[in-house]
Amino acid sequence: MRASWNWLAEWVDLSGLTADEVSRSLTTAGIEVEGMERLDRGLEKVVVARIVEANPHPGADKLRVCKVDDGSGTLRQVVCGAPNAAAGCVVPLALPGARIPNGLEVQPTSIRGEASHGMLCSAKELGLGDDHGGLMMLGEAFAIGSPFAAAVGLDDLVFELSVTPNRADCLSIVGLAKEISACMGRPLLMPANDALGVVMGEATSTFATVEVADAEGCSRYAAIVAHGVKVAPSPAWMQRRLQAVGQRPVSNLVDLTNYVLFEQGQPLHAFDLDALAGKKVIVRSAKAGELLETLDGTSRELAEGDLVICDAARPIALAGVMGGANTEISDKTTSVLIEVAHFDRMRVRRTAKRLKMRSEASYRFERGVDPHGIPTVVSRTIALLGASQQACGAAPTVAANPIDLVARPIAHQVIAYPVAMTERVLGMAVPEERVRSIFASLGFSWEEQGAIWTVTVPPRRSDVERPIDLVEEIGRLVGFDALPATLPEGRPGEAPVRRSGAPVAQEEQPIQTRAQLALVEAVRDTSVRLGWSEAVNWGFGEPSQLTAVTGEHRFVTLSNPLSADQSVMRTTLLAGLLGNVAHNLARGSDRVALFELGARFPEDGASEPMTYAAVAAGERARGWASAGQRFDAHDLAGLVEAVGVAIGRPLLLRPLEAGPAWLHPAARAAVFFGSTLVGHVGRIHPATLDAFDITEAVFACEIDLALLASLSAPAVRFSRLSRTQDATRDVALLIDASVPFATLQDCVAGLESGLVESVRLFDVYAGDRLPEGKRSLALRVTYRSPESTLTDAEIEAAHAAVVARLTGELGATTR
Amino acid sequence: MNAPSLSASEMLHTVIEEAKSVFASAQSEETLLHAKARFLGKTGSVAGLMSRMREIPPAERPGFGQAVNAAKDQVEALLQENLLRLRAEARARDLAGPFVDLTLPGRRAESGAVHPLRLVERKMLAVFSEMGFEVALGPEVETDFHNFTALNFPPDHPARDMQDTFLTTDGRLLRTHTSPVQIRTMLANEPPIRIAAPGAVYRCDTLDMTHSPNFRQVEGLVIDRAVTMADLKGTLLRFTRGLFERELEIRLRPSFFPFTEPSVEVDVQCVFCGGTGCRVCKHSGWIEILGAGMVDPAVLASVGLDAELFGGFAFGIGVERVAMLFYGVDDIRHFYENDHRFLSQFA
Repeated sequence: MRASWNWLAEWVDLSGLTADEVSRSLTTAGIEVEGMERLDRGLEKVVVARIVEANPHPGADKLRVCKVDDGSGTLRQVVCGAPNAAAGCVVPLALPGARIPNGLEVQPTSIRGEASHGMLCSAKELGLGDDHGGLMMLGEAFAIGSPFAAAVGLDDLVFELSVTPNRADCLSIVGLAKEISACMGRPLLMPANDALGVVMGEATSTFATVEVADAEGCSRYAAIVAHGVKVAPSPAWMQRRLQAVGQRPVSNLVDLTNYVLFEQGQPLHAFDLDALAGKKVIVRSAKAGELLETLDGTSRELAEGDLVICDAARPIALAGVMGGANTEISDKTTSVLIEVAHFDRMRVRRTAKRLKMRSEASYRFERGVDPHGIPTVVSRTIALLGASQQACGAAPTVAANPIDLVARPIAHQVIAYPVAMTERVLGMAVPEERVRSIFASLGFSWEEQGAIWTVTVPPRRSDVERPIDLVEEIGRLVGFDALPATLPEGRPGEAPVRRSGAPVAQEEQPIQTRAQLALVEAVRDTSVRLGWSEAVNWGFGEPSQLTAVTGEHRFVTLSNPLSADQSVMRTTLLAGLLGNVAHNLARGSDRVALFELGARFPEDGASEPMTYAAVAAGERARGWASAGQRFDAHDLAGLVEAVGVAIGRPLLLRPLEAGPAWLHPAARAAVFFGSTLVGHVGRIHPATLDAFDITEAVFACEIDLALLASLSAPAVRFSRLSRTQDATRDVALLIDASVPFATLQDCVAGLESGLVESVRLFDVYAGDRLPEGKRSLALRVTYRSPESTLTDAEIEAAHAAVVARLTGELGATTR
Repeated sequence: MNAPSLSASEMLHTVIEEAKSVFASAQSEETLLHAKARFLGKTGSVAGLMSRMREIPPAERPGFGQAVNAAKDQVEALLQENLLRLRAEARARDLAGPFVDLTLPGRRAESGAVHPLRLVERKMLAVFSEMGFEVALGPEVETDFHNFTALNFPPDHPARDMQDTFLTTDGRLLRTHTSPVQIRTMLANEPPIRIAAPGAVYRCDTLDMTHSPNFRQVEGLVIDRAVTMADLKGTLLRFTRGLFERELEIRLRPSFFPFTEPSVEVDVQCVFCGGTGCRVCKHSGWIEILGAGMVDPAVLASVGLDAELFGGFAFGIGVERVAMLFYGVDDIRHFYENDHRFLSQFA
């Protein structure tokens, strides 16, 4: 919403105030001033001047050497190239030193040998339109030598305001004037409102009738009828005002309706009365399938429930949204019917939203227009009609007694206000005298009956309906700066108490946030310490990429995505991370190691499990000491193990026969906590990488942290330190390369002697010196008995049993 | 058997001279110990001398024995002397180099970085935690009831336009704010309630320098008997001072949110200029950082709480916005590209 200072000053006394003061006051009251713009910027050194002589330039055919009267008493020589520069014209003159709105700096100069002390300007050069065909012609009414900006009404300032949806009353100059009056204590003004320039004719009902068939949709409908109107450009002052608030001038009748809309906040619509079949206006609900061509030239199919204005034969306007082409004002219009109506906000909103036709009118109707303001708006409209018609030499006849049909009276809001509530809510006492002056300044009336006051609020303030709304008005106008700063009492940090019997039947899932967050933080810290950086990706993703990762085709799908690559909710965190890998590799990064912690959205919608995923590609470390080392799947296995340690839930990697599509068949494993599958780790399948245009090997893991959080961590139990001596024996097994170490480990763990304390893998070898398809695993087995130090014979026996079992069960030989 | 060609003393002398020269020529402890065996071992020269005892006339034998033992002591002394020499030389060599350039980058694991949005979120939750707020979470795919209706956004109300909403084909929506966590918490728990709810939220905003369709908020909610707007102001003052770690002032401006009444926008004194005016605060001295208000009685009613008994306040703060202020990030898109060059700046 834009508001002009000069326009406001017509309705509220701003004398002696600065723009900053008004801006601060509005902002403090909740109407945020987002910016201020002076309209005369660049026009400070532009004056009104008359060309006294316009002589041919001796050195250039298209230039003229002008003698110009700038009001100083001496004529000024200016060289000018405009075709319409002629003696006698009154035009804008930019004096030397001016920096005019098109950016040009005017300097005394010499053009082809003729001195030029200034510049005669076109409208375009002054930022006042597109007309650059010649000098801007001002006419005889302008005083020679006077500042140009003031002469054309541009000595103005515009506030750019952000008006919240509840404050429909502030979407107009008059509404803002009332707000300024209330919060700055300034008197309201009333501009002269005499209907000059019009002749009053016969009663309006002689020329037109109004019928409201849908009182729910239209509570009140007023109509002004005028004959003998002339369609012409509106007067300059009206055009300037409209331009100031961002509206393009069209013609006097259209501009009139816009002017009233911005000034009063009441949308109007002007119909060509001669096009109105039966001279009748009917407001009714549309029938499904009815057609109406709107002013923008589009044929609209109406739906049941759309509120339409019709004449005796057909729809002629979408109420509160846009008029119809069939009754549009044209150059030939001589008779008009001007609608001043109150339409239901929901109905207007639904139609405007369905047809995607948001307009200044629908915007205001949706938020609420004051039905009680209609008589005032009608007389203001007639006065402005007279003024704008007079400016083009017309003297229309306005029918007497404009129609004002109240189909459904809307009462003032009456609120029982408990006086003590203000202090109870605000935590600050406001003296009753102050409350009275606030109510009065807002135009509220009230009766005091002890502890409860009865407050009557005008419909203009449709946002004030309840006692709490009155408290807000009081707080707002006292100013929240006055509030003390205290802290709530109570006992923080206590465990929440569950409500028994929720009042609303909902599938409320209490979330174990404390346990889950502790896990998240531990995983984050561990990952960072091990060299992974944290990524944050969006919750939505591209379906084909997600499928390339998971192999699944079903998603929580958006019905109104911004684009196809954000059309479904992610079912894996890896798609986002792989996108990040591609981004980093494309930018020349030689090491990419990222992880993310966030929700996944399985298709069934039942839960959004907190998930951990990590990826790595390129160099393991970039240091000189580890040159040439590249990430492999074992780095991810190590990360998973470290994460398990960090969250007190040891994670085991086990061979995997089948899993998500992203896993490379030759390098993949399942991640278990106890017997529960909690995730996967491995190399990314090249087909998955294709979907992300990645050619480099990438390794990854994805783990369901929500699932892990729901499984309790094993309790830590101290085991007594042994006082007996241990003994170690090494064995190198030659074994099929396809036998996982995990199988071997399980095999050792199953030994019943109870003397095996630990088995540590200390070397893995596969190479030329071994037979094809075999590898050598060197194990160091530690033996210990808690009771006594083992004898050599016992150790040898135990070790022989281990070796026999390993070779026997795994088909291995010793080296 | 013939007498030895050399006299006994000559033999002793030869062994000692030989040991002297062999030990002196040893360049390492290893060769020295090897040489030791040659003289002092079981089959060494000294042992060889002793074995000649039976060639010596019995009368001279004691004398010869003593002489051999003296020679042995002498060889051992020579050995010890050279051992010390070699150790001294070795230490001198070790100390002489080679030069180790410790200005080379040290050998260590690469370090990662926490995402700046998480750093800010952590900081916010830490301040909340100090003030006794418990963390609460809620789903990102929400119902219209939790996101709007229960928060006093009537169907078809213009206030819904403030938050352009993504809808899902199964009739739900992506939450437009973290406020539905208020509803879930109030439905599940008895007052007093004091929660902080962090999380991702979604709005149909096209990505540009300052907007993202998916961003993060942290929400605060206090519900109890006798909670006032002055308590809200005090809480916000303490929160912003904890967050920015400076004694900044705050300013409450009236605003509008359907779920609070009165509603306010909260400005904090510009963290860059301290309130004197600069480019960041657009010369106002203030930066808008959060929205807040007293929980609307309609919201309490929607969760079945008696507004005559209970009241409270709520506030929400944008994580991205604060992160941009904290770190001087000028384009919100950096947060979602996850470029290592960006992330590593927060290590």
